[in-house]
Amino acid sequence: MNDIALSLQGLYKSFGAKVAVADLRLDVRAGSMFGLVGPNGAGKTTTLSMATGLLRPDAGRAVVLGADVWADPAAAKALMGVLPDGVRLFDRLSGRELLRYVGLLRSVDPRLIDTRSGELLDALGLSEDADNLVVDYSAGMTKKIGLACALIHAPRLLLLDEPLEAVDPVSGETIRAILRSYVAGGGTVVLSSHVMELVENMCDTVAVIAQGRVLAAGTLDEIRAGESLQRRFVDLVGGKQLDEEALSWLRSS
Amino acid sequence: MVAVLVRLKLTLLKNALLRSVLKVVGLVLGGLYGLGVIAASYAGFVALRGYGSVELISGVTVLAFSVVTLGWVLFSVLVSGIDETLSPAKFALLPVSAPRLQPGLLVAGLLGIPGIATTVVALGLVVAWSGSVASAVAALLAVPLGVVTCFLLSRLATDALAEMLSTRRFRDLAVVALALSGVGIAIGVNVVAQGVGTDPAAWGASLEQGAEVAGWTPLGWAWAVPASVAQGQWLAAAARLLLAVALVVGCWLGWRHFLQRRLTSPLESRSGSGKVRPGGAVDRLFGTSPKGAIAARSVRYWRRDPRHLANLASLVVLPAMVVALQFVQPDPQDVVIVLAPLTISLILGTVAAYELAYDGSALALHVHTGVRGRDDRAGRLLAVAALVVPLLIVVVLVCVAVAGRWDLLVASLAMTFGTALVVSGVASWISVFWPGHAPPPGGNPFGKGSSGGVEGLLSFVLITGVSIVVSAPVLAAGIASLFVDGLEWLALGLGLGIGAAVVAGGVLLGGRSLDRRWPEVMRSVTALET
Repeated sequence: MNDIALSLQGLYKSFGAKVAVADLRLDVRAGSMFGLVGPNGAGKTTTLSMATGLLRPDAGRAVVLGADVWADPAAAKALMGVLPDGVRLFDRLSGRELLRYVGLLRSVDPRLIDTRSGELLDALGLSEDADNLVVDYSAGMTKKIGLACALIHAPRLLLLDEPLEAVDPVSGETIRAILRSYVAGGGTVVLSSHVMELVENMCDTVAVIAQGRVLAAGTLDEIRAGESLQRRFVDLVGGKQLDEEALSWLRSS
Repeated sequence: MVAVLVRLKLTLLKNALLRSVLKVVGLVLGGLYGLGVIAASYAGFVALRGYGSVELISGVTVLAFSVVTLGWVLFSVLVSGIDETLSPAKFALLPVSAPRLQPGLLVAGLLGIPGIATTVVALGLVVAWSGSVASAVAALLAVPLGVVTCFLLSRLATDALAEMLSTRRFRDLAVVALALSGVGIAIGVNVVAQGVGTDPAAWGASLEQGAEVAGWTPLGWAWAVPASVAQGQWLAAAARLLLAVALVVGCWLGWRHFLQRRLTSPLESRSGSGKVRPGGAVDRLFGTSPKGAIAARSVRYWRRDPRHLANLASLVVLPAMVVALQFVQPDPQDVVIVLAPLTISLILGTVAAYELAYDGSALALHVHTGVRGRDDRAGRLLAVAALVVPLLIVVVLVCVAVAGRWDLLVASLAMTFGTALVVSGVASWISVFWPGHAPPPGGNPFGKGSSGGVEGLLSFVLITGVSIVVSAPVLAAGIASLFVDGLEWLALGLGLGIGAAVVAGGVLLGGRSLDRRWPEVMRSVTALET
């Protein structure tokens, strides 16, 4: 019924004099794997925060499968699974307790929570540490348990901020497989990253943002236009050539 | 290094002030207060110099400055927390050693209102002792020793306690020690007051006695040096000077030990704790609704988060102090003992109100999952209730039993529970508007902001004020029942009725405000992170 899984309409956010996101417009088709790329400080996390109800936009709307995040938060949030970046988890709970907590907050049937959390922990290689406190997890494990938390209620839309950061290659492959099968089953993924290889490998649609604006959006092939995504990205954002003589003192010989 | 650290501290302070009006207001008020203290004490010093005998000057200055030193220690542990702007963990990645950092950290640490005020007031000692050249020189020597002792002792006390609190084995012990030390001080103060009595003639003698005792404690060694000199007790002066120097050196080395530890192993990473048992009674107790899940999570946090434990301990300190104080009185007041549990109810507001701040950015989960504000409020209150209701019952029973006034049981229960309910309800609502912020979990439980900052104070004052007004009928009926039989049942009815209504209202109103204010709450509680 809804072709567009996530629609960001003229989002605007400034912190004091600094404009973080300016008139950002983006539509994510349902069933796509959408990559949001941009340099550091481009406004990726700010944008995702506004789309998930963490940060109130100064202007504009965020609509999830027809539900406005800021007008009808309950409906919109029920459809979304979110993996935020730079946010603590309730890390004095064990991995299993945390999953159960998230499941219960989302009103998932307790029996379903048990089976799902078992499967998720198993798939992500966390079974052995399921009863350890999350505060003792490594960065990669924390990312993985965060992803499990985003998946436990089988959302229609996944918003993932830097999903593979600090994750080892084996788990990374597992996560990619999970996300691919999720999209194949009709789900929609929006992931932000500055790892071009990941986006090129995973995503069918890409948007490049910098300084709070969408510089380019379209299918992966449209965006890279025959070149590598890395190359196009640097061109779009405006890369900086390192001068021959710069930082010469760093060479030890 | 000293200049670098001092400049760093000033830059950080400047940036913090530029970002927050509240901080500027706090600094200005603190500065005005400091100026007031300085002016008042200098007036005192001049008066002492002009009219006081050597004995009087000794008594007053030694006692006063010993108390100031003790105040530094207690204040940093119990109230304000250590200023963490230059927290040693932040230097962990730099090639600096503790001995190189120490002088700079000392100077930077004294560069604040308390440090500057203490130094300036202490310099007044030179004025007070300017009667003879020898005593003035001694005072000039004693001032830096004393001021540095203040800082180092407070640093050492908080570092040692933070260290203890970060390992599970000592955590409970430290909490108990903290509670007991509060009680001990209260009793001590009272015993002294008892000894002095109300006879003004006894004051002078006991002042001298007190100063003599304080002058031989670590708190007073440095401060008593000029007094000994002025009284011609050269041997005592030398001994005190030696002890004071030794104390400074000892503290310096002790502080270096902790500093070295923090540089190589930040507190946070050592907060580990091993496996927990899956499932459990907590889950069954609260059920599987979102409200129940939040309650169960809160209860787990009370056990696993040192900041919550410290908070819990503070709940018991106050009534214990009230009861203990009555016992050293010549004629203990039964009624005061019976009403002591009421103090728990009154400060319960802080416990309920800081819950949001303690969660920090983890609260994002509640936002993402779209938890209804009302479930959040009710769940947290359920958790508080699960812990505090048994505590209150036990404390009320103990107090009534100690006083031997079983006839006042109902009145005590009515007032304690009535007020506790009202405070919880009010806190549920008000804390949504001023959630304050707290050091991140695993951080130093004595770090700055561990009591919520200015915002936390504001919400505490508001919560307590509103609660007292709302629970006035309960308190009035309870107090009246001391004189008129039967009124205690009215108090109980009023307490439970008003209390239940306020809790319901607090949960509904607080929940509704929370639903609207999630982003603002998030911003406030994450103020110390990133």
